[in-house]
Amino acid sequence: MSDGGFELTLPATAENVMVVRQAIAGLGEALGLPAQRIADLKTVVTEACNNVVLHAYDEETGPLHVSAEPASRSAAVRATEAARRFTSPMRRRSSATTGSRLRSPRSSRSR
Amino acid sequence: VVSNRGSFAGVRTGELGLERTDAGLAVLTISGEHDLSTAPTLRRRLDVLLEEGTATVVDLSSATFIDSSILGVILDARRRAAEAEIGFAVVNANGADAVDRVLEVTGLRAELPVHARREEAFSEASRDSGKSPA
Repeated sequence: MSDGGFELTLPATAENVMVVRQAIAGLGEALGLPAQRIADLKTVVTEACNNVVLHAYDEETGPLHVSAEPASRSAAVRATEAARRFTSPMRRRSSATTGSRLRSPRSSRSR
Repeated sequence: VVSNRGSFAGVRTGELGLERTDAGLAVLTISGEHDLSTAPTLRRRLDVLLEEGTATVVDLSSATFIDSSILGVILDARRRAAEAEIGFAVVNANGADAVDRVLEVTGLRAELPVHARREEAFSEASRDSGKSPA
């Protein structure tokens, strides 16, 4: 992982989505991202985490893994559980894509 | 690993405020950050108002973050209010970017009209109510 990124493993509960959101906002500020971009990143990460909280586990709550990795021109954030991966690409210089794309490359093969 | 509650250093959920105008409208103010963790509380508050038949204005002006679950709760309340002919309107008086942006990203701007002025929202909620306050 690049310097400045983070990994979190938390119980996949609704309350913890806010914790992840605060962490990603802090990372965005540390990277010097514009406020609008940080807001978009918060939205994308929140929705990705929501997917894990709402759909990953049937009864018992499992873990929510989040990793954030800043690069020179982007920050990749992944919110995952065992079977799926929701990836939100974050390009610093491509405003049209920021915050509006939510890819889940492995979701088609899960369950 | 952080603890499993949303109370870790400096992290605080948003708040809901309820006031009632002289004209009998309920104004439910959503401030701070709201998401999946606060959506059930928002839903319960709106349920009570709808069960009362109270014309309601949802004020998002002080919201700093809302997600799709909050939009879903508001949209559902709006639909139920319309079915019951109860006035219902949404206002974002300060043009809070967080709200504007999420409406844009989700493509729900047309689905969920948001007034820029409180007076307009009050007027719509009063006008649309089959049980309009005297």
